[in-house]
Amino acid sequence: MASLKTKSGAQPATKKSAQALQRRRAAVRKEALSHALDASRTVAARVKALSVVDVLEDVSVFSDVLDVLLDGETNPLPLRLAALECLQAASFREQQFAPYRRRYIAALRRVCKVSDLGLRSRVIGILVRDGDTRTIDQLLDGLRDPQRGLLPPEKALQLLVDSIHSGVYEVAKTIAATPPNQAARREALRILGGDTESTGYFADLLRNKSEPVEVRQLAATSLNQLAPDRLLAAARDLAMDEAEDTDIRSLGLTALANFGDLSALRSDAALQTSVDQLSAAQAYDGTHLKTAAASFKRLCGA
Amino acid sequence: MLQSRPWTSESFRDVVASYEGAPDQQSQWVTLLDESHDAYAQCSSLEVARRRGWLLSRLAALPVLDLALPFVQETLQTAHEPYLLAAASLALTRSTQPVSEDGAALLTALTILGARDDAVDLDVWAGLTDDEEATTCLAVALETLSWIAQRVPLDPTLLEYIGSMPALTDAQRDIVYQAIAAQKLRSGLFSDCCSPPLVSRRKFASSSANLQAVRFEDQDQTVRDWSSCLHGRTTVVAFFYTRCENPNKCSLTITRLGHLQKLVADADLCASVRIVAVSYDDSFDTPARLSRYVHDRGFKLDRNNLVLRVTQGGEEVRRYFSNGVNFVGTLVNWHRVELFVLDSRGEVVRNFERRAWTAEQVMHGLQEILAAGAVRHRFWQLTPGAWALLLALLPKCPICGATYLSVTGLAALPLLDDWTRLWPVALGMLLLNVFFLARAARISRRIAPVVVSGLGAVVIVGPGLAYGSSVAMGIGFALVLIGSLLSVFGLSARALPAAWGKLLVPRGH
Repeated sequence: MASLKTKSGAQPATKKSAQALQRRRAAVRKEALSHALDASRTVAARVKALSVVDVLEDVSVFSDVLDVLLDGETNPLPLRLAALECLQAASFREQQFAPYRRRYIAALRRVCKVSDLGLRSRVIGILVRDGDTRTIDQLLDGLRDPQRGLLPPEKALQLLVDSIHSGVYEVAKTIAATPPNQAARREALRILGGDTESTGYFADLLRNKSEPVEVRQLAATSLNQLAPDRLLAAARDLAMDEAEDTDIRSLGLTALANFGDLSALRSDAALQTSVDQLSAAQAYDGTHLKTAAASFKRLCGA
Repeated sequence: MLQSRPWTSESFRDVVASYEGAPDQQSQWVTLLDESHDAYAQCSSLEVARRRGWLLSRLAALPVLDLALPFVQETLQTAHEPYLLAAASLALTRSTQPVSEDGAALLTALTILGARDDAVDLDVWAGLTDDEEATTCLAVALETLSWIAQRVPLDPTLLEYIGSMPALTDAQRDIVYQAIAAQKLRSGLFSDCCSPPLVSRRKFASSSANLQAVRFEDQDQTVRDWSSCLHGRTTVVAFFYTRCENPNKCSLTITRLGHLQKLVADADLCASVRIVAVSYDDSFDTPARLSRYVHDRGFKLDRNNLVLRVTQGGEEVRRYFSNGVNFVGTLVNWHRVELFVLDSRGEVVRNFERRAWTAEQVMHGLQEILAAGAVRHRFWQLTPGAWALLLALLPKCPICGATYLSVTGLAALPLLDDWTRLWPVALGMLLLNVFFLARAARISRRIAPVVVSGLGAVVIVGPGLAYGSSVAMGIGFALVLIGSLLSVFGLSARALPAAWGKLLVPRGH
């Protein structure tokens, strides 16, 4: 297949040569499309051919590439993924893509139901980011009733993290309380980081030593967003608790150093002593806790 | 029909269906459109959009739809859901007297649909359809454009833009070009002269509201009470929240507030006007978050320009302003565009709701309010001298005295707020004035005062009250006053005792 580049790679010098280059490129793209649709060629060759096709050149080109995406019986998965990439790239040219958008969205909705999780996940991601309410509702349905789930719950929640007006908070609370798996729980907690009704829940999570560190860190991040004063109230206790996990202690120190009241911290003798002891203790050398203590002393040292 | 909370989709549809065919069907459905209705409580924004779209599509099946038009217009101006826009577009065609503002709202909707068209079946819940031959939201709106282009003036520049949108098919582009052609056949230039007034005159709960306990927190984390935020000077109050996803609502509101701020400063009214933006989302919108949001949109904060969240008494605030807002948990799920102007006593004297307002329109309202306040102030300052003058001029004849008083009462009317609504009082005073003049004319046998005052009364009632012409009001009042003065100074001194006698002694004695 001919290359789209000029022989030297430089810009064409005259209008005539520019037009000749355009014609050559169009011919190359046309050839590429026919290669992509040619079932006798290898999958790799067809995928490579699709990468140079411009679906916005003509409505027939768009239709052909759309059909490649939709036809799961004759087209192998890598080719369908390449068609999706081709279409998605074109969709960023909003003005030119506008006449094709409706058919594109309709096609993506059909592809939501394919058996391959990878393709399904990508397509659903595109639709959710586009604000497609139908797809968002389907994801929520699937979270409420796993039998109807299009994606694993943690993936569905990940995609819904910005759709706070979709009703996802209610679903996230249920999953946080009775999670199908820990990944789903973490994603649910991430979503609830914007739910002001969950402030008390996060304050409890942060102090709960039986919770995994990652969950407690998520709780701290959420509290910082929802109720920074409650985070700071807990941070001091966490930083000074010698029985506490070192990562959580360093989280406490970092929160105090970055968001705490400077004069109050400098006059807090007990805290300053605790940080001094941390800095001196060789047992913590090379840990995040040592680094956090050093940072605290630099910013808030008495 | 009463419903226990929360409403489900099915119960909503059942309630809507239950009013079908009822004599008050349209008004019941319009009640359901109120954003603060229980029907929209504790459900997601997506579900609220579905319910409102369903209701609008049912309303579109009615032959006449004037009651719901403000909701239709707001939806077209501010919504970004294709289904809602399609339902509202269809509903607009049921208006018996569309105005240019309806056309402007439809054009706004068309620009949104040009970028986000979707197939739709308005007979199906949420408009869902997989039929590739189904109509689309854009097609529905373009049909409405064909209809409205024959009836109202439309912005030609925006029409040209819509005609150039790449998403249009050739057939759809033809519709737009036909609308442009229809506009060219209309006489006169495009203007907004025939639109209904932007300002709504809805009554507000005022003194009965328990506002003493309300507390706000401003951008500096200072706790303030109701009086310190909303009393003491004319105050503009707009509602918003930072997590609003609709760029045509909250973000635009704050941006326009910034523009209003500049207009107020340019008019040197900063000492007389306070501008306040209040968040619906008081638990999430912290002072830092609010400050950043409004700053990014050009609204500058200082002691006269505040951004507030309600820390206590949120229900009282919402009740006072009759806010059109609803929640799921603490998150706003739907709200209308609303802005209020309060006088120095904290009473709502103007409200701009449900329609896209501009800073210039609000500024105009502010200037009217401030001017009326200045006139009242000057009036009370002049009062002692004026009364003394009046007493000196007041004739001793009671008939003429009554004439004077009716003219004075008429003169005092424009000093009252919403005085045009007191037209029955004005009419009564006019008739009284003419009556007393006629009585005086029987004594003095001089018809000129009655004729002149009568002419003045006609000018006041006709061009003045009916068409709102303040010039006509001035001319009419002058004629009435001249007529009254003519009756006083034309009455001879010898007729005065006779006048008293005729008043005090009943006929026949």
